[in-house]
Amino acid sequence: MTAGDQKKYVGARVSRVDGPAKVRGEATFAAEHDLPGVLHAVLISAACAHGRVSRLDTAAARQVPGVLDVFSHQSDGWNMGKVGGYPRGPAGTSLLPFQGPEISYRGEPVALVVAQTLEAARHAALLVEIEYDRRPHHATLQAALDGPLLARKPLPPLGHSRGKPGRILKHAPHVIERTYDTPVQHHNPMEMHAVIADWDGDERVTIYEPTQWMQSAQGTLAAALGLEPEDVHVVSPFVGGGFGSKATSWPHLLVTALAARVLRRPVKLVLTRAQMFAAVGYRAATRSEYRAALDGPQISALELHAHTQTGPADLFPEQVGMIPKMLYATEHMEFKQTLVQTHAGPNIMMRAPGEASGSFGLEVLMDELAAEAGLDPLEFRRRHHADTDPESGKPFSSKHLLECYDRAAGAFGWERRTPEPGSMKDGDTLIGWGMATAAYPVYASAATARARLHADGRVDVEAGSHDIGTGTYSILAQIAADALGTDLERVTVKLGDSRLPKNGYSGGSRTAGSVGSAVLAAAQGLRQELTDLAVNDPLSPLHGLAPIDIEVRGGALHAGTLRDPLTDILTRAGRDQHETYREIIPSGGGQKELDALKQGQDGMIEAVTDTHARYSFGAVFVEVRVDPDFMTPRVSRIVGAFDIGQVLNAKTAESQLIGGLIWGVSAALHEQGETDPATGLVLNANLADYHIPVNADIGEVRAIALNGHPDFHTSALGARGAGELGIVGTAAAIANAIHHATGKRIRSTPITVDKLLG
Amino acid sequence: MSHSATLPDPDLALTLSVNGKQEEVHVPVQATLLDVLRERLHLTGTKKGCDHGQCGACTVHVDGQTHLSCLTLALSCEGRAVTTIEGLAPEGGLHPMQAAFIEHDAFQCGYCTPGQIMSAVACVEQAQAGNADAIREFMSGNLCRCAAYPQIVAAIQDVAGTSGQGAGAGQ
Repeated sequence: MTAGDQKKYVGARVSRVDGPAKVRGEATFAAEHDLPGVLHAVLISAACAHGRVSRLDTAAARQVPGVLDVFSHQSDGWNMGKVGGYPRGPAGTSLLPFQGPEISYRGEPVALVVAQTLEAARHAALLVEIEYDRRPHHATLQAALDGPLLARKPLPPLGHSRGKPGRILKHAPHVIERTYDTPVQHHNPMEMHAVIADWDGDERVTIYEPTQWMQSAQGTLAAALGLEPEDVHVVSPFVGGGFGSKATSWPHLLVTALAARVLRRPVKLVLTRAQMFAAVGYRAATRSEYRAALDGPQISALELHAHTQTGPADLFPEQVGMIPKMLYATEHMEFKQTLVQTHAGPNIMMRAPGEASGSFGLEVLMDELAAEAGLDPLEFRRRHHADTDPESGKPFSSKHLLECYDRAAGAFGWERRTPEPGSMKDGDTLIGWGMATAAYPVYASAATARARLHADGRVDVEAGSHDIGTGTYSILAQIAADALGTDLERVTVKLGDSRLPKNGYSGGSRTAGSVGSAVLAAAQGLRQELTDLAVNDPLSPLHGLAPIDIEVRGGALHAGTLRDPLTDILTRAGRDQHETYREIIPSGGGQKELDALKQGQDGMIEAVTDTHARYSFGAVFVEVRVDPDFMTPRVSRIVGAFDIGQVLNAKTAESQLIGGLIWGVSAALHEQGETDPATGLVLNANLADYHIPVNADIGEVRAIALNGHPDFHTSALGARGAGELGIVGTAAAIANAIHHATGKRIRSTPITVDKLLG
Repeated sequence: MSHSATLPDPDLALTLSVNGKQEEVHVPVQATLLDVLRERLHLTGTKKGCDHGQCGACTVHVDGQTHLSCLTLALSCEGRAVTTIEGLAPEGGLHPMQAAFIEHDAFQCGYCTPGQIMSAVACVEQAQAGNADAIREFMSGNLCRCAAYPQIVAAIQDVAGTSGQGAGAGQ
């Protein structure tokens, strides 16, 4: 683009373009697609963590009027081909449903009832009689650490060592040892997972499901049922939250699709909320064991040995070392991680996987070390600021953490903090102020997009990507409108259809930078092709001019006082539309990642490249108010400042960051999956007993997105993601504030009243 | 297990008044208002988030009062006026609360949004929107996992004309 090009929308506070549909209830979520003759399915999940189905009697269920069939491992023709579990394959787990009587994890699907009506299916599901031979199980990290039934797997590839941490720790006079624990958490997007499967013959199927990665459903169904991936048409225009649980397909997709093929009718399955606690992944419990040597006000060595939970197969690691490895300038550092297998089922990424859980220990430890060193926690962190990436030794692509500290501390009023715990009060109420640093890697994907201009001036943007509430529809429209110099209202963005240009999984905060850059390339390509038409057209006022002298704004090409509307160029060329398709490979990637994308693999481009370490940064400051008698903590105020590169939409970016901050509140004070040790099942598998914040739990929340620091080492737009950064460190900032208010140092989340009274 | 395999007559005929329109449906007695709206009348603006009355996504108005449609039997609504998100504003228009939710970005994924808006309209109509704390309390039956709570409060204050009013008296 040249200097005179339109810069009307990118970076502005633009209301969501899909807002009217959402507030009217017109946005069509997966279970709401209206298919004639659709049948209703109800899934039955194993009430057993490990064992086998010893009896499964469907006779009574089959007698319910309207029931068509009850499927299970007893059904014929349900053998499936192998599917890889993420990240080796596209599915959430390689453990396939209905392949035999064995139960290897809690909540594993055991039967599917299909009926004419939802009411009949639900009633019949109550009549299916199932008995289990139960075997010993480890359903929690603690149980598995206490006595091994399943394997523990060290993960050398995730480990890291620099300098001589062991030697320093052995001889240091001042070594602090601390252990921090985080629990199982469940994603619980408000929209429950759902599938409608609609076959055209036996080889082609349309799948309506909420997904962050359409190619996961394609790859899973292709591998399990022997289909061609392109014969699986995935439709997912709106996703009612995902947070990672909708990144991969789950076994309920396979059973719904097979039931529909057998019954030759479309079948719809909506999981129950209770099933959302068993069948769609979770954030694994973690234990972080730290040793830190202090030499005056400096950390001279840091060691982290982590144990994290995983399921009985697939071994997805909750990467708690991601942030501790790189956040501070510690010359001597060691990180090791061991995966501990349990029968809790497959775990999966959940908003800032590893970064959120791993930052809790690190950032509480930093608070404890600052106190040991007699320094203000902010000052202590400033003294450990890393100017280059301590892990890779490479320069950061763009780092403005010190500005984040200044902006957030200033807006919060941190300089008025008195250091002594319990020293700040409002009447009897204890006040505590705490802070933490945030960081999140900048991931990217190869990406593809198409832009189309119609002769009436309308613009279509097409990308097989997703809007999970992140604002993808809006930012892509903004990017295209500016690149084509047109009004936002003329741009229609199409997402959530596997027949659109292929894109990767919407996770790791990479959609905005990657897909946004593909849309930018397609829109700029379209504009370039129209410019070429104009300058080569004797009837154009711009005929014979050099393309470089031509700007685009107001729906027209301009050169000085000369003007040629884009629609006129099309009309003169005798076309009713012109479209341009582009593929992009963000820096750090190569043809390999583009090929992987086209083959339906993830093909993620890592944060550290040959030249740069690419991270987003932030600083979070919180105020808690604690009742001195009941020790009930409330977060009354949060201020976060974040360096996310070029802000694409100030309104939606702030909402993303605020959402992340509130997830931090949730992790700090509310969320925890409670497992019954006897049965291995989740005891609080509903939204009343599994606590997440309600409106009254949340006070003032302010997110400041720094601007003016585009990072062109990460994307052509200079944009980095905003979805996950806000949660990183926030739970620790709250724990630190609670310590400041009460003097109580709580090293496990959630920080509940029993811990504060103990 | 002693559940009966016999279902009541599935052809219970009901006439419901939904958004001012008379709708005749044939449903089993145990059918909830939520499932009838979504699965029979294809009014899918009303959302199912838990089916247990715990999340508020299914909030509708029955005779002007908020109801959790997942805990409401459809047959109990005969002769009463049901209003869903689709009936809040004239076709093609926006209720002021809908417009305020867009302006303040009071949602992200949009799934809890219809329920939030139905509760928010009631919050203002029932004069419970005098300050931010009162709104937070009133709106705490509607979960938002995207956590747009501050923006929801701002949208309601905008409509109620109470922007800038934080805590209530005595807090």
